Amino acid sequence: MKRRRYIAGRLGQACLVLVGVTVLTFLLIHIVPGDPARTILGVHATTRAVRELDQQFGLNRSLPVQLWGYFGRVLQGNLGTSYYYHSSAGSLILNALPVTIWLITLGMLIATVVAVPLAIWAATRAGRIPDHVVRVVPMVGLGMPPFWIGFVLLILLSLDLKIFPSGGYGSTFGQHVQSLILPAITVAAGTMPLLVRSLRASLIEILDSDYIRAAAAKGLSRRRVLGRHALRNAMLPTVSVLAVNAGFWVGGTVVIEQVFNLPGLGNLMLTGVLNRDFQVVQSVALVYGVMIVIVNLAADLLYSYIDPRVVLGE
Amino acid sequence: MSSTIETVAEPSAGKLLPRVGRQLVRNPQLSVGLGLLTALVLLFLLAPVISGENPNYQNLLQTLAGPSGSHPLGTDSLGRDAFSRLLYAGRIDLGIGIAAVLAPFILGTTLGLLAGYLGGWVDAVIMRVLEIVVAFPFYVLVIAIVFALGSGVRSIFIAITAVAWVSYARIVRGEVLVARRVGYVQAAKAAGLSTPRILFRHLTPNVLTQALVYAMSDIVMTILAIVTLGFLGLGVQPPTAEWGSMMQDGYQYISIHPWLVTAPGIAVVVTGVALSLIGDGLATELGRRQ
Repeated sequence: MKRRRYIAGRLGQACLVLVGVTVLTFLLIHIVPGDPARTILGVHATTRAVRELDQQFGLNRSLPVQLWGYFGRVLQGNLGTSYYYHSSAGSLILNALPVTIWLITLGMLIATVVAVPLAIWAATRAGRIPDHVVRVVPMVGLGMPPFWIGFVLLILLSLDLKIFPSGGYGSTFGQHVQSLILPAITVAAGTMPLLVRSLRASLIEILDSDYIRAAAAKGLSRRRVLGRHALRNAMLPTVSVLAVNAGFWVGGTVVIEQVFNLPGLGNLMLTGVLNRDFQVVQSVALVYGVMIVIVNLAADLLYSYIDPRVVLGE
Repeated sequence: MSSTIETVAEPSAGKLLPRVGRQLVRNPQLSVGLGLLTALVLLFLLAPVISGENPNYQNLLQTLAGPSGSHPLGTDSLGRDAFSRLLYAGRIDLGIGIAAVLAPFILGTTLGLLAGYLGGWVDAVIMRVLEIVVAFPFYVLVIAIVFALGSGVRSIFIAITAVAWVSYARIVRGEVLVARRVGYVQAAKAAGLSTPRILFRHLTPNVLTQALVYAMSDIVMTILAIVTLGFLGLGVQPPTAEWGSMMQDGYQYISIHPWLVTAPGIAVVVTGVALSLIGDGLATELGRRQ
């Protein structure tokens, strides 16, 4: 019963945030100085086209009416038309979305593979040199522009050694994977500081707990105690730290895509910015917002299954 | 929360200096961070003395020159001295980075205080707005707002304020929720003090420390945002030297003159490390006091 109420409450909250996210992207056009219809259609639009759009979107009506219309269009999946590409923003986004999702997934995978051993290494030697080293590295990492490490990788691995392509996405699956590796490492480098920090902190706390001492006293191997007992429990808070900060590391991919010329959402948004393609920028922002809300919701629901204490409100 | 007692017991100004000195020895992070930041600030401020070159002087006969005695980092695509630009850009990036944190700090702290202390619908409204802002990736919202407002320093300030207040509000609200149950607030209430007085005279000094510690890492984030916007051509407009726009400029020549991109990046990282060290050092110092 309690679980059901928790899930219902969490779903309701997510819906509320989704509505808010839509309102915020709607308001975006009203902070642009000048006429909204002209902003959407670009500087070269004819007066007639501007008037038609005013009619169609009701841009000369009151704000609540316009908002209602915007909601209706978004719910129908109509994200507007890109005047630059002369195609619907929705289809542009659908083409770009998989690239971004693959980039994020691969980036997270690399980050986890590197961060877990690092965190264990530091946590089991708390207060000694490896620990200090592992604590300083994230500090350097968090101070780096998300795209800059991409430059360094490009210079080292792509331009000199020519192991990886310096940009683009290729056309076959193999080429996709190959072109995703450097950007994914860049994404991982941005995420790892958070991951290592949080994992190290929770591992140190857990390694000091009674059940770990009990497991060790039972005569289990150190490997088993660390892997089965400590790491599993330490992953939980780490996953939620990652979910809470999803906005931060997903945001980094926007510019990383640009650096590596990957045709993902971020690239679409920034090309839109350059061409003053308003509907594309607005719709991509909306999709990013929806994506993060879903990730957070999924993480919370998953968490509530793994750790029932959440549902009980402890 | 014990800091009220600490303030009362604060030694006179004459004894303060040796005490600060002792703390710095005890806290290497803080002292290294402060030292590094001081060195950077001096470098940026003394730029005209250190490098005689005008950062905006274009020598079109000497574009993309390699490092030499007169141009330690070579020249950029317009023949401007890269080292000079690097130093002058530091003034802009660090200066705007610190200035842009002030407004979100004040806004977020105030909203966090109100949400935590008043509770009820005030809290509900502030928290719902906060959740909406947090639902957007940081860079996506900042880029979208700057795009809508048009590029430039004013837009950067507005966009960062609109996005960054949430962290302060969260931190301060959490602190207030804890502090509300502590004796001194109850005592102030029982004494019949007005709500604004309790909020600003009694609560604020006690909940501000965490927000201040966070402000250090927030300056790092803000500088990164300014640099990123500059790289995208949405930030500080040319010809003003700025690390992000320098990287954008150098990006095209990455294969022949990689230092045009790497040098501003290293400058960002060193500045970030200095500020993070100060932040971590302050956090350790606070942890020790409590």
